[in-house]
Amino acid sequence: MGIYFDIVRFSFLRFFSYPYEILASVLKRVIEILFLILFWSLIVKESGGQINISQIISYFFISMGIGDLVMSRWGAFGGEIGTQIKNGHISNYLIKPVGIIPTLYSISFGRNGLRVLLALINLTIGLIVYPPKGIISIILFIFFFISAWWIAFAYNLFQGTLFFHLTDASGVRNALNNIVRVFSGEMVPLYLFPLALGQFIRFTPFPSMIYGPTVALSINSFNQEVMINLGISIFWAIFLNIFVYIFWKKSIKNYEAIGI
Amino acid sequence: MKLSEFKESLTERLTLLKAGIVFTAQRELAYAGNNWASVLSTTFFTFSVLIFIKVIYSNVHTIAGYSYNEMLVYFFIYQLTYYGNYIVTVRNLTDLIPDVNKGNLDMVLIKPVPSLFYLMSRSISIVSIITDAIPPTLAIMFSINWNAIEFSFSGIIIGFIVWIFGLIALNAFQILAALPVFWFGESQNILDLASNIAAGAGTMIPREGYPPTLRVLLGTIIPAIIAGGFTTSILLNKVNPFLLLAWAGAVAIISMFVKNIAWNYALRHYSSASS
Repeated sequence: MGIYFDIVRFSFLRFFSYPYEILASVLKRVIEILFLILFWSLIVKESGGQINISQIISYFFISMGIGDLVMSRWGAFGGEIGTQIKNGHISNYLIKPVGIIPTLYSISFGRNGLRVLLALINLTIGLIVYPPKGIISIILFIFFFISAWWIAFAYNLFQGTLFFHLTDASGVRNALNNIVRVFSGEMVPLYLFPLALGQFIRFTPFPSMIYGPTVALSINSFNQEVMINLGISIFWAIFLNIFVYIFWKKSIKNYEAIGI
Repeated sequence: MKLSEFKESLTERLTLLKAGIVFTAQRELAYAGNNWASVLSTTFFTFSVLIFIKVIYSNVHTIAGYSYNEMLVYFFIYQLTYYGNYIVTVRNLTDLIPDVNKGNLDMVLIKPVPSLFYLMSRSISIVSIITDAIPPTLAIMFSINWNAIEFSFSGIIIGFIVWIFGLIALNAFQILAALPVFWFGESQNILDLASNIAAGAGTMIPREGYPPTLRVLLGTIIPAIIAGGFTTSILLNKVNPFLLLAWAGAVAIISMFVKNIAWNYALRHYSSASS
């Protein structure tokens, strides 16, 4: 296990070679949030009290944080696997006595270390603006978060595995990321969707990656609806991981170690 | 400059442009599968934003005075701006940064060609951007109820000129954002920051939605809303078009001068060493 922490640390420290880049990354996040606040304040102004500004701002702080922590926003882990396969660099790890998936995960986690730190700050601000309803909210958040992590893990692994089959799967990756952006609740909370569409999306794995854990913090009872949502989330976490692992195992046999 | 020199310079630039377009097309068309996936990607992105706008407008009637239909027009211009900016600027700057970082810029500087023009024309992805852009742009066009919008001929002409000015200013702004690589060895995140601001961080805020101070800032020093916001305001007759035309023209000219001065200054700091 220690070796993976070393990989995370080493990948993270590489980023510190360029301090101005760190500043730019932080500013990028600040700008992103400022635009988001401005945009939603315009909508709140027009909504006639239907939408609560602090609730919506808190939603986006938390959802951005969760998206970055589990890597469902833009699929950093999937991108890392893809790059390694495309360039033939994955051979480097295949010949070493390390687990290939944990190694690649550690590299992408380390390289996205700053995003992870910013995600934690986002999460903290979101929780300050709109604190959890109680102990039940926190318990539900933990369950939904673990489930979100596993689903996002399978999603990233699936994205990366596609590179074994398509010479360059970056277009497919972008297409998948765009689907996730809408249906995971990253762009708009699902409760603002038209009812029929919202109900349909609820049964897909997408909302479990971001929307599920985000709204869990505002739930204060174990009602039937919450339990169904949690059940759906756990189902997708198990099913997708089994399916994607089999896909990965079959796909890695196609690897020719040439690079392009 | 004599007329013959001007002709020679123009011919040289057109030759570089043609070579850049052809080479980029050959490179991009090498992976047919991924080209289809890119079309899929831009189409999904467009549909995701169309759904986003639909969902937002199912909760409100207007945003900053823009109706649903007007917001679609803004999205249409916003997308054209993105593609215009991507073709000329983003790809080329993304290639420039590692070249400076690894010292590969030497190979460009020893060539007897105008360096900045060459660097900004070597990855012009016209073929792929056309194939990627057409299906999603058509989707937006078909979503708009064009009959409900009153366009004027002068508005379209002025809007187009302002859009070009906006792209010129944006190009200069992003080049300035990439230049720190000459001093620090890396500037991808600074360029990303500039591009992120230029795209309004992915939000759909029309020009009228910004507070006055921010509107001025984003229309001058950070020329992010000229191509998208100004153009849409002109097309939808929400503002005096001549005022914005003069404004955009002045910003474009000043930004070109600043860009050229900054580029020459940066070149003097190029150490030709990899970092």
